[in-house]
Amino acid sequence: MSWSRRRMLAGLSTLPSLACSRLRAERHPPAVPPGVQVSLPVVHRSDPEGGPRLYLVEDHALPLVSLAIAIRAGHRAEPTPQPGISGVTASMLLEGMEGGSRTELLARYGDLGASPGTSTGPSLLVLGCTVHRDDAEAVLSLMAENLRSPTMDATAFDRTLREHTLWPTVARGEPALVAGLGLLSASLGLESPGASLGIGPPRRLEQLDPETVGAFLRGHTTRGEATILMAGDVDEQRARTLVDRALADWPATPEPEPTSSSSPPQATGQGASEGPVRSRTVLVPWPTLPQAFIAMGGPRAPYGHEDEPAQAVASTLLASTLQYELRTRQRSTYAVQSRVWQTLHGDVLQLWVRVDPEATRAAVRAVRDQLRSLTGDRHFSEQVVAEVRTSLEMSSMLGFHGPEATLGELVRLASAELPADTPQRRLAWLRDVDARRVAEVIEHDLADDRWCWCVAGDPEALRSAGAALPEDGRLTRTPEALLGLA
Amino acid sequence: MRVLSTLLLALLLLLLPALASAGELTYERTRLANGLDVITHVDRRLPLVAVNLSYHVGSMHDAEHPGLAHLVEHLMFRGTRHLGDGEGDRLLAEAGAVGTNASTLYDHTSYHTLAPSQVLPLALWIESDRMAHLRPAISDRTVREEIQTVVDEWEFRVQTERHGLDHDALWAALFPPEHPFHPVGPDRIRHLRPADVRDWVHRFHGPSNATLVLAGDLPPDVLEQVEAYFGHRRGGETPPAPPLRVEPTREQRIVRTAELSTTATVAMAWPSPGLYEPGDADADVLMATLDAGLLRDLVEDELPDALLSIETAQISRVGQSLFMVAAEGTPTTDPEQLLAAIDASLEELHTRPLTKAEIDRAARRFATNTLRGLQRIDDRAQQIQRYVAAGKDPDWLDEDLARYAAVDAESIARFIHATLRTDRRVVLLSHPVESP
Repeated sequence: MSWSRRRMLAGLSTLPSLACSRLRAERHPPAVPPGVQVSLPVVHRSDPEGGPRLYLVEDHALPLVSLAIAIRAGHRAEPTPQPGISGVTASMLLEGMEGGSRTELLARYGDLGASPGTSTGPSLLVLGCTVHRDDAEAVLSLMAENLRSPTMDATAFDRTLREHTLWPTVARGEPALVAGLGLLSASLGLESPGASLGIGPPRRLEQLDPETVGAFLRGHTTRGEATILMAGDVDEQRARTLVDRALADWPATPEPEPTSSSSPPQATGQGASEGPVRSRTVLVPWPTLPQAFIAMGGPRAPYGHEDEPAQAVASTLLASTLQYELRTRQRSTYAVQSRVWQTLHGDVLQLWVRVDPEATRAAVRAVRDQLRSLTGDRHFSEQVVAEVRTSLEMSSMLGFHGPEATLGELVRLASAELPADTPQRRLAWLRDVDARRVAEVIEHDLADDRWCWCVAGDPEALRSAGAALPEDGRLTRTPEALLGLA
Repeated sequence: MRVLSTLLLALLLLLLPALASAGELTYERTRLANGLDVITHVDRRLPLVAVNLSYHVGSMHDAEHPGLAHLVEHLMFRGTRHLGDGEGDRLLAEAGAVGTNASTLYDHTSYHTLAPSQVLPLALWIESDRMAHLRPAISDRTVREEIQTVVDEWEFRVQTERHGLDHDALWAALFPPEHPFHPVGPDRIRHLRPADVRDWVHRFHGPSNATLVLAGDLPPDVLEQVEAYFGHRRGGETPPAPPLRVEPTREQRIVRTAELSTTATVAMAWPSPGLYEPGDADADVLMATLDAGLLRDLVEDELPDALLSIETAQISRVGQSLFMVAAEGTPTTDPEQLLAAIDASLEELHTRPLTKAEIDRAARRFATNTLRGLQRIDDRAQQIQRYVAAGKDPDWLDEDLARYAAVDAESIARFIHATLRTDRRVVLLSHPVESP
């Protein structure tokens, strides 16, 4: 046998195994090495005496910087007689600056390539934007000037107030929002759930005037109350320099107001709650609604609290279970959505679905069955818990992917004045969550007698839901009542 | 000629104030022997990879069976010859992948995931598997179930959204039923059949009609892995592009009562130049200028105390775009009056040219916004797919931005005169619903 023949035969002898190997590779997915490497950036926090506080994350991948100035003029700071003043103040910021109109102000931002935005929450009022790194200093100075000298032009103020007073009327066309307010009402026991989100009743908003809003803002635009948030292509030394320059003209503490009539009353920190509503289930009649909205959930620990990661694992597990049950098995909804409301009375988890009116009973029943099944199951698979944990670890990492996402994380830290290493601590807590801990959280938080509901829909949907919802503690509220229009 | 165009591009880039750079989208491009277009973009900020496989077939190609492209997208998650129902998704999720999803666009359909770097082989295997082995898993039952899910999705995105049906009505008026952009509602979706699905997959889901973009922390042997998983696949027919141009000859008005909205709204739309065509950047700059307060000020001068919000948009699509103005008035505003105020304001644009400062400002905002759109590796993969679908190079960023540097007052005036004519538009007047 020649060498070449031997080689050919040897080669032929390996063909079946090669073919088998190829077939196996074609039929079976490759194995993935276990474990996910999570990379979180270092958050720098500095608290110089007299302020302002700085939270910074360096990210030099793009020549971009996301910046924000946050002041403690959130809903918690609203004086009792002026609910909603924080939101009105935030809106007025972009209506112009002293001596210049809204168009002129936006042109100044536009010249820097920026599109500014404002937001308010329980703690903070935030003005922020994203710019090329070369424009970071100019835009931070502009934002500082914007906060210190907004226009209180009467026409602009009237327009802003009109938008805010009409908000509940506009929101009456948003069933998802109305169902969310119903769930807040049930979860927190509130007559006026909007107040817990800093939404002022129209009649109270109408009593605001430009002087009062101006005084509220001035009372909070001090170096001592300000927090600067920066993420992107800027290093710590330059960031500190930019901050010191931009806020050089800000007073360290509030300046005395010239007239006592425009001075804001002291904040109570309690929001504008109007007393408890004793019900865990709110039904919202809405005759023209083509689909029913089912919202469910309850209070949960805030970001930065040791219990929050375990609760996040439990709620993610529940949401994916419901997604399978309602979309894949029942085919009654397109998606199970979730969100966390940050209210004056704490955070509230909300899951919600939209279903056809005739499917409401089956959907509610399926959710309750799943809750019972989960709370009765003390032996969760460690593997399932590990999968959920991994997806939340990935989300933690993606929260810092790019300057704008990072700025959102910094706002979370600044809202509760959390330490700079909170993301790392949260990750460590998350990694400690095991099946036993999840079972504890589920047994406690998802128990049938703690879970809250809101169903908005037509009479058929409410009748159908009524047959499956908990019997006790039901309350019927109109959209107008939930929105403060009644 | 090429030297001249390069010089012109360099000159235009010098004029651009805040500069993004194609350096952000460095790439390598390879075509496998079977035709698969492979683009890799290395970015090692995080230990992640973005996998984005696009078939160059989308909803504009399914005019004979409206809704088919979207239905096929759903069925791609219902298992294959080798994977059970939803198993591909599950395997990826177990390995830490997030955002595993798909989107059906007009000109392409994109399947994407973001996963830890070590998951790349699994993600490639799953895409390769469903490229070749989807059809055996398509059954009457899965098709029936996914038709129901697509209908549910329509109810979710359109029927129960405050202005969802308004927008559907506007698009339906502008694009007649035989046009690929005509909205597809439940009635048409319910007519789809398993045989249509199988035929679509057989014809279009092959390597020579696909582009695979991999971005992120890629291994050195990434191309060898792609070859191993996809090199033996075959097929993939590229569908012909249907005619997309519409040219209205008279104004159409739609008057309706919204199912959910409690406010008066007015929306109007004109067919405008397609994505990246001459005039598209002019439309973008005009939109940015109007949105920066100019249009709101003009309308409020005409009709005080009536406006809640107003916005404009150039919805850019390959072959045929849409320029839109949408305004929301107070509940007591008469939509006809709001329309008259908007018309008077737009009329002013015919006589008041935009200033150089306004145009420069808009260009600068577009430059920043373009960079903002490249923050995540999956965003970068998606942007590369958009350029490729439009027949551009993957790193067409500089040329894209240079379009804005070429915009001036005259070119915008030409766009306004040619496009924003009342005889070319559809107007929607939507009255608020009575109290629920």
